[in-house]
Parts: sequence; structure tokens; C-alpha cells
Amino acid sequence: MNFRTKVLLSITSTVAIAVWIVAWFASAAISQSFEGRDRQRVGALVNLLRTELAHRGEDVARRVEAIANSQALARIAAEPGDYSAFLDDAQALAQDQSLDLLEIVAPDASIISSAQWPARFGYKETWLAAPADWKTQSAFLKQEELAEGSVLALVAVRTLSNLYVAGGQRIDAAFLKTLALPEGLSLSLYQASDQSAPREFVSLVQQERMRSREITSQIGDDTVTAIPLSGRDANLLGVLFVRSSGLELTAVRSYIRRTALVVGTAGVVIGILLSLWASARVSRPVRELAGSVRQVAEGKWDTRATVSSSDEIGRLAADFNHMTEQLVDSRERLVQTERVAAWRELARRLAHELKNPLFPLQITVENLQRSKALPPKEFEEVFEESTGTLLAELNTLKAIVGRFSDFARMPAPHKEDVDLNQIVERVIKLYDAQLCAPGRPQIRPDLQLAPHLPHVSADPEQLQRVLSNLVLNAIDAMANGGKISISTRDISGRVVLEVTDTGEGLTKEECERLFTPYYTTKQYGTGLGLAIVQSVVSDHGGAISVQSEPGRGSTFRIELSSTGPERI
Amino acid sequence: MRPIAWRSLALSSVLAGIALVHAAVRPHYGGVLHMLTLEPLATLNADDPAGALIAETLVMLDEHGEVRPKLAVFWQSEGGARRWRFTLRPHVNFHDGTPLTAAAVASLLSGAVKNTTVYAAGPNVLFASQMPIVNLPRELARPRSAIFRRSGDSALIGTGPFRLKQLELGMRVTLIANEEHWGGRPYLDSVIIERSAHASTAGIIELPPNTSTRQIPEKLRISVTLPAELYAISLPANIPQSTRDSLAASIDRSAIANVLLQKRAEPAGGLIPQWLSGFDFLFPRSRRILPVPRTQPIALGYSNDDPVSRLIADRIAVNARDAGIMLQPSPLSAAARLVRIRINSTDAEQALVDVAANLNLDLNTDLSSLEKLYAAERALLADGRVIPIVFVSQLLGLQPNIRGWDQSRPWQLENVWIAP
Repeated sequence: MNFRTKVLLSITSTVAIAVWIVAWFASAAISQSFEGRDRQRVGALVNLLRTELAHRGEDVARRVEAIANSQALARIAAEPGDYSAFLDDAQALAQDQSLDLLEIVAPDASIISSAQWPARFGYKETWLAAPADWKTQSAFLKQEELAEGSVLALVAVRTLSNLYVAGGQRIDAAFLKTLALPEGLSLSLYQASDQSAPREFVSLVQQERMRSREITSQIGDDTVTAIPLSGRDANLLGVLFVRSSGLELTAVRSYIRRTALVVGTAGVVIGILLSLWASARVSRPVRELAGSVRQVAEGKWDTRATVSSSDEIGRLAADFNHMTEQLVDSRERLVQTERVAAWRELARRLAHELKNPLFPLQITVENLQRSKALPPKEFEEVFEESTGTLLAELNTLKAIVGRFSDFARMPAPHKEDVDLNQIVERVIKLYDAQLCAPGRPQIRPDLQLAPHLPHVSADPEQLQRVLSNLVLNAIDAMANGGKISISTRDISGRVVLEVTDTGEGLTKEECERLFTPYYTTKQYGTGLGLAIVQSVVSDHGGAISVQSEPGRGSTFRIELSSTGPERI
Repeated sequence: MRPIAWRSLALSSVLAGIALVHAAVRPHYGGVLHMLTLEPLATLNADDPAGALIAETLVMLDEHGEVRPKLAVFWQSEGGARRWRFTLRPHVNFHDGTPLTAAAVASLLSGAVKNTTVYAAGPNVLFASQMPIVNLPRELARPRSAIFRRSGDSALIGTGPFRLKQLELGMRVTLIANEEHWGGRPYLDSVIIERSAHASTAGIIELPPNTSTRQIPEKLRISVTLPAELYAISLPANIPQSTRDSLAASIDRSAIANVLLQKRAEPAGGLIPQWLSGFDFLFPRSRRILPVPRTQPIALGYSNDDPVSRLIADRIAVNARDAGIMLQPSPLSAAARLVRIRINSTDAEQALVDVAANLNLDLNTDLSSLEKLYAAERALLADGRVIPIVFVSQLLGLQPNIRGWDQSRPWQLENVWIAP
């Protein structure tokens, strides 16, 4: 994830989270405010309802009292026994007193006349016969059975000469409509026995049966308060539901959500713009600086970063430029030092190489000068021997010079598709006789060649020379015999060749200097073999490394890019 | 003053007093009688009360159920009651002036009696059948055997004491006196039968039978007819027998008769009233609760034109709940229905035939004896498809100046007159 993406994510997520938190707190605060308001309004409505029920009850009691004291009832009381003539009286009396329900009941509790259910005459109202002081009993809620079903009613009872007058008014939807409701509140009434209550209210009705006290519950967006309506025996007769509409709260919440969405979107857009600006101001110089670092790493030591500001990034670029300049100076100094060291090494080697043949030459010439005084025949012998020696040493000198010349004149590789396995097999075959030469300790070859090794683009002769040098070094390292293992394998598109011996091994310092020209650990080596190997591998775009520990052998590893087809 | 003068004065006073008393009881011709009826007046047929004033039958049944002459003055049977001869009253005309002839009667009664051939022979109308028709005179006394024609506008043309002047269906029937009636001109000039006449102007007011005495104006004379209207429930066959029996037993008929209908009805155990058959008390009518498993509600249809029907239906529904039967009274048509059947005949056998016909019950049995009549009625009620409820009387209020009213034959208006 690059710097710009990080900046983008940071800014947008920060804005989004901040907006969400603000919106959540605002929504919670508003919800709390609405709930408080709802509680107040519902409480006021419940008080209003109770007051209204009390007033209605007083009114009903007054009207029933008026009927009980009427001439009509006195007439009925005056004709005990056969009340059939008064069958329709209750309807007229109820109409006169604006009562929904009215029953005139005989002393034996049988209905003389019923306004609400005329056909029920003669049936018993046993509840009236129970002992009670009806004169002082205020109106109460009662579930009244009618032909079309049961209704809730506010009922009052009065008596006259053992006759009962039970009258009342319905407590139903029409009654609820007479109440002045605050906006957003609605009332509905269900009897406890009503099976038609909406499913959402059923559980509240059941809870009321258990508790018989006000219960508030959330149904959808609305808040519903269930108020129990109990009868004379404190039995639950109905439940009044006060529903506070959540529409307003929902609208406000929706507005907050929309606003938060808009603000959040704007924040994200601003975040994107800020990230673009930040990348322009911050990440571009950093990216350029990173590019410069990469170029330096690739060897372009003259790369310089652009110093476009005076802030930390600008100072970093300047420091980077200063550092690269320092590095270039150091490298040049190092190269110069190494070059001097190489020349010194070369001079030392040359002196060493040349000193060996020069000493015999000097002795031979001095011997030849002294032989002038010898008889001609002896001189002739000395002369022959001396010139032979001179020629031999001169050839040695010539060979030394030739090797140095060869190293100096390493030819450019002629690349072609090469099967590395074939070169390995060819070299092993070439040195097979030397590995198994009689009279010297045995060296056992062990080839582990990958069966489908891709080809490499390489000069086969130079590659054979590289492998030959490594095999010869291995043979030299195993004076007491051992095993030389050569393996090839394909690792992620690169062909890897490893030559492992079980010889004496190398120290860490020897490993570090092993590829330096003219450095050798052998008594008679020129120190050019591995330098040539490294040069060839480098010319082929590959890499060579060595792993070794004293006494545990050495492994030379060469990696080359594969380009050719697989070996079938 | 001389004694002769005192005697003359006293004699004059006595004569004047006798004249005044005589004037008060002597029938008076003229006047228009307004009748307020509860009938819907949706149709006018010979078996309607008003129709019976227009169309007459060959014979009639008196209050004791005996056959009496009417348009026929003599009849006799021959060949073991396979042939009947009815001799027509002479000089009788239809209201349109055409004479009542044997040929006209034979034509109008053709098909009136099943499996019987009717033909004219001089002044006689002959009825011939392969089987004995011992009850033919009673059958011919039925209102449906009345002799009448219909005019181009379907108005009844009969021979009765009143003829139709105007018919406004659903509102009013206006009759005027038949000046040429064979029994003599009726006292009244006209009879107007209405559904909506103002009570104070009506001479005779038919009141709902459930009207309490307190609700009847004091000046009206009350006339309560014999209970001759049957209220019964007709149930479809798909209602189980147990439910039908339970419903029949649950009904408190006494409460309906005595309280709801203010004692102007009697509980019905059978299909014809006690006063007519003499054995209605043998049928069970007391209330019993036979609970049945709760069933789907049963709609009980009743006539919306009859307020009494609704009251009875509501009470039946209340009673039925006690047995676990949910009845829903409805003014709409329903498979189960509360029916009201007017029993016009004073003959028990004929009344049962009429009731069975109204209820679409098959009654192909011999009814010639009281035992057979009882057995037939019992058989009709056996499956519980018909549940008799009450027999209801007609309640009529008569203004004080209405005279000649016969409570046993309330619609015989030819003898009614209005005192001045």
C-alpha cells in the first residue's frame, strides 16, 4: 500500500468515523428527547382518560339514578309478578337518558326489560343479586354480553323496591373519539377476551393479564403503552393502547442519516482531494527520492534527487544528494585504492612469477661467462646445457606472460541456447580419467541433473571453461580423495549449477577474497582461475557465490537466466 | 196541565227514547272504513284477507268447521263420492256484470282439485274422479278455491260483497260496495285498507301482537282473534338431527307467547293450533337444554316486513345459545328460516294441508279421522326439519263507532257498519 493510498484511507476513514459518531450522538440525543416528550404526553393522556372515565361514571350513575326514581320504574314496581307489559320500557328509558345499556331487573334477578338485548328478557343477572350497596356504589367497568358480542361499558346500578336498574355507556371506539388527543397519539381498545387484537398487541395483552399495570413497549417505530382496564372485582376486562407515532422521530432520524451521508460523502471527496494534494506535496518528492535511491542501487551513482522544498522532504533530498556524492567519492577512492592494490598484487605476482625463471637465467648466464675459460669442448657442453636452460626458462617466462595476456584479453561470449546438463556431462567425461587415475586417491563423481532443465543463453566454450576450472579446483582441494557433486536445477526461471567437493574447505576471509584476480590458496596457482570464472559468469548476466567452512568442503553456486526450451 | 197532556208528553218521551235506542243499534248504510293493516299488500290474491272480500267460494266453513252454502246452494255426491254435483246460486253476477254460470265456474275451477274433472251441466257444476273425494266440499271452501277472474290489469274480478276499485301495491287497496251482491249490499260504501294510514283516522287498526296494553289508546276496543298464524322454523337437511332436536327443545315458547307477544299467542307443539285440532297439547313444547358440540353459526332468515318475526328470531337465538347453537338472525334469505303461515281454514284437516303446502312438505296420506290427522302431523314433525314456535292471534283496535264486528270472522266486513 503506497503512501497516497494510506493518506487517502486515513483521511476518509477519519472523516467517516467522525461523521458517524456525531450522527449517532445526535440521533441518540434526539431519541431521548422524543421519548421524554412521549412519556409526558402519554402520561397526560392517561390522566385525561382517567378523569374522563370518572366523569362518565358520575354521569352514568346520575342517569341511572334518575331512571330509578322515575315514574316509569315506580309503575313497574307497583305491578309485581307479571312484568310482561314492561318488556319495551328499558329501550325508551335508555333513549331518554342517553344510555347505551339499560336493564330493568326483577327482584329474582331475571331481566324484565333490556335495552341492549331485548330478547334476553327473563334471563337472570345473577351478579346483581350478590350483596352490594348499590346506592353508594359508583360506576364501574363491566364486560357486557350483547347479541353481536361483548362490549366494555361503564355501568352503574341503582335499586327501587327490590327492582334493579343497571345502566351504562359503552367504552368503545366512539368513546375514544370524544377524547382530544395530542397530535401523534392514537388510542385503541381491545377487550381481554377479544381474539381479534392485532398480533403485535397480543403479547402486551398477555403481559397485562399477568401484571395488570401499565406496560410500555416498542412496536416498530411506534411506542405503545398498554393501560389495563379492570372491573369491579379487579379482573382485567380490557386493555387500552396508547400509540405514540414514531413517524416524527423516524423523519428526524432519517434527516440525520441523510445529512450524515451527505457530510460523509463530502468528507470522503475532500479526503480524496486532500490525499491528492498531500501526494502532490509530500509523496511525489518522496517517490522521486525513492526512485533516485533505486537508481543509485542500480549503479547510477550520478543520480541526484530534486530538492523542491526546504521542509523535511527537501532536507532529506539534499542529504540524499550529499550522501550519493560522498558515496561516489568513497567509491572512486576505493576503486583507486583497489586498483593500486591490484597493481601492487600484480607487481608482486609478476615479480614472484618472474623471479623464479630469472634466477636460473642469471645463474646460467653467469655460468656461461665463467665457462669462457674452459676448454672448447667443455665450453661447448656448458654452452649447450646453458642455452637449453635459457630457452626453457624463457619459455616459462613466455607462458607466464601468455597467461597474463589471456586474462587481459578475455573474449566477448558468443551466446547460444545451451543445455547446461550436456556441458556438465562433457566436462565430467573429460576429467573422468584424472578422477580415477591409478596411484592417487579416488575422487567419486556424483551428478544430480534436473531432467527437464531449461536452456540457458550462453557461450558453451566459456561455460565449459568455467566448469572445468571449478572441477579442477575441486580436484586440487581433495588431495586425499573424496566426492565431487555436480547438480543442476530450475528455481523460478533461473538455472542453478552447484559444484560441491568434500575437500579441506575455506575460511571466511578466503571466501571473501576468492574471486580477486591473482589471489590463490594453492602453492602453484596464478590466482586467475576463479577471477576468470567470475568474469565469465558476470558476462552471462549470472551470479556466482561460494559456501564453505574449513574441513567441510566447499560449494560453488552459479545462477544463470534460463531462456531456452526445456530439455525433453 | 191536564192529565191528557201529561200522558201525551210522557208517551212522546218514551217513543223518542225508543227511537233513539233503536237508531243506535240499527245498522247504518254508508261511510268509508279505513283499515290500517300490517300486511305488506305486496300482492292481492283470493286467499288474502282483502281478496276474500272480492272473491267467494262455492261453499264455506262456519266457526264450527261445518260446510255451509255460499255460491252453491246445494250439493250432493254420487257413486261413493266419486261424482259431486253443486247447484249454483241463481242470479249471481261477477263485478263486471257477467253472470256466474256453471260453465264459467267449471272453467275457473278446472285443475283446482287434483285428479278431478270439472264440467257444467245446466245450473250445476259437476266434479268427477276415479277415486272417492270425500273432502271435496272442504277443499272447495278454501280461499284458494275462490271463483274469480282477472282483468287486463290483473285486478281481481269476483262476486264478493266488495269489488276492487284501486290497487296500489305495497300501499293501499280501495274496495267499494257491490250493490248487486247476492247477499245484499254491504253497509259500508267503501273500504280502504292501508299500511300507512294515520291511526287516529282509521276505523280498524291492526296492531302488532306484541303491543302492550299500555301502548293501546284507551278509546280503542280491542279484538283478539283466535291464534291462526303459525311461526315455525324451517331447517335445511344438512343441519344434523341432533342439532335440530336440540334447537327445538331449547326454545322457550312460553316466554315468546306470554312476554314477547304479550299473551296474544300460544306455544306451538304442532302445526295447527289447539283450538282447531284439539290435540296440539300432545306435542312436546316445554323447554329443555340438550347441549350439542359448538357448531358453525347458522343464519336464521326472517321476513324484514314483519317486525314480530325479528323479535321471535332474536329470542330463539338467545335460547339456542344456551344449548351451544349459534344462530344469527338475518333479514336476508337463508337456508334456515323463520316462516309465518296464516291458517285461513277453520277445518283442521284443511289447515294441516295448507300448512304442509306452505312448508313444502309432502302430505299424501289419509286425513279422514282425527287419529290419522294426528299421525300425519306427527310424521311431518318427526325429522325436526320444521320446528313450530307459536300460534299468534291478530290484534285489532276498533274505534268506538265500528259496529257489526265479529271477532271470530274478523275480515267479514260486509256486516260491519259505522255508527253515525
